[in-house]
Amino acid sequence: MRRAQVNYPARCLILSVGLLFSAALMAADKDALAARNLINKMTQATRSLNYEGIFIYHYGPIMDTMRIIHKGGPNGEAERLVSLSGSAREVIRNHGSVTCIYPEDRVVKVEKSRSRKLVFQLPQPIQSVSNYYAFSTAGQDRVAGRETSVVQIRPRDKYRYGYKLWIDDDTHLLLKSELRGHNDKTLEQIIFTQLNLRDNIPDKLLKPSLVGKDYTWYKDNGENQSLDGTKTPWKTGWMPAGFSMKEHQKRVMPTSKEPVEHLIYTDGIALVSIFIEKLEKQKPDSIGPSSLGGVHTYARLEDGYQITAVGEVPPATVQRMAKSVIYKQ
Amino acid sequence: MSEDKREALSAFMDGELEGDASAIIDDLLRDDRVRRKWHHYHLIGDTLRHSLPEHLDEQLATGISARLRSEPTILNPGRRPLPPYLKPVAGLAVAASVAAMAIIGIQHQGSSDQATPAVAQPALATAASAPIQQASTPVRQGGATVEEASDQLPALQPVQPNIPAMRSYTFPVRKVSAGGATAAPATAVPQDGPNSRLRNYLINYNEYHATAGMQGMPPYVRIVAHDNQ
Repeated sequence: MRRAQVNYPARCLILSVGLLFSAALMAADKDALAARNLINKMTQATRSLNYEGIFIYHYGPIMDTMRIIHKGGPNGEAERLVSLSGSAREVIRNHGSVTCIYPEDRVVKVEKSRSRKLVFQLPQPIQSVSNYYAFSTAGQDRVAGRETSVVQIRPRDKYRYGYKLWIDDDTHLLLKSELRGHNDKTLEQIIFTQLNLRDNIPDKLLKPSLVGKDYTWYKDNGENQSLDGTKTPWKTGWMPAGFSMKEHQKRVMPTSKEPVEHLIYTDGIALVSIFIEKLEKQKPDSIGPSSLGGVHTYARLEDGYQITAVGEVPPATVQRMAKSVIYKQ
Repeated sequence: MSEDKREALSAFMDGELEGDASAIIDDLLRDDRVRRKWHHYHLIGDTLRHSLPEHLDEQLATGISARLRSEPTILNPGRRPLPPYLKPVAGLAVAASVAAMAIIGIQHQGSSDQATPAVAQPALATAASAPIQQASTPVRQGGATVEEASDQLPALQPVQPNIPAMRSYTFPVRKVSAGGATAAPATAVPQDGPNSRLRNYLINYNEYHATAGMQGMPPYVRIVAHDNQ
């Protein structure tokens, strides 16, 4: 009896501390869930709505203004992206192909695009992705004159990047986006200055600008061959925890004689491609590290093959992955 | 020196080494080649930050350690040898004083003539004719080649600011540290060659990014974006 009396306050204390703690945990979980719901809605809206807008892209010394015209709907997406400053580079993608126009080189490239059946959804169980990223909401902000909710995705290790996303309260479109490094430093960003929703996008808005006769056309007629991932003799020996192979393809590219093997890895947020190409007489290209904004690449040569890793991840990640690729019959 | 070791060394330098640094410190203390590599990496870093001293003395550190090795005999003229427990202290004192002298020396040299930005070449020439020239220091080449073909040192020529952006340097150091720096991406945009392999890869990569992964920004933005300067 006496013992119970002594223990009673202690038990109360433990119980209340425990309750507080689990309440805090639950609040954090709830916040993460809210963040992930917003991201899901954003992914859905970005791909399904009709819109047209102007945004600024900024990376290091590069600053560019672009116009985006996007058509969603049940018949598949179509999108046109045009640079408004400098030479009018543009990319048009629709159900069947991707067309890139480089006026400064007088070059047009047309690639077949893959089917758009697989619309990405964040995996439902919160666990898997949460092991590698922390999701949270970060209040309200105004972008392009519209109210937005801010969502933050922080990586839990240095092998991946983080994101801060400003999502329109009304349409759930992404109005501002930052790619962030390990110390939460902004590496790359886009900010919309103007965004209009449209009931309908006339086809003429999705047509490429005039292309002169002096342009060189590179057309990719190679079929994309989806292969069983386990059949490839190439193995990636190292990848950050949580990454796994999502697809394995072979495709003939304009620069290659033999089909290029393409292995695609993802952790649910970031994506890394590994290209393996047999070099006959072609020269190796961009060996070592390179980058295109927040996308880093690392290429190396092995036994007459060029192995290139490409991904929106830190340079060290693509480098380590590229170096770990081995041939295993 | 193995690739792994170099990587570990560069990670250690950036403060990004995972795990135990003692192996590297041991290497640095023991192995001249590792130490040289360490100096090269600092030299590369200084160059990229445009903070090269006016005169480069490759041999300064080597000289100091060589002198230190011979120093204790001079310090103890033999009248009454220092008790053994004091010896390391004496050694440290010498090291400190030599280091202090070295700093004063550099500051003096540095402040003497700051108006000429392109003094690296004469300074390098001096270094090249220094008596204890090592087999293959980068300085000797006066240019981009270093002891291994894979180590291109962009260092020694662009001492002046406002050099047009270089394409892609390739040296094994992670120039943009894992966190990355916004100010000056070390690698340039791989856009040369209208039909280059990398361009094709990037288009393909974006093709997947459009349908998989989380879409932080519209795919292909990076292909459309370019440097307008």
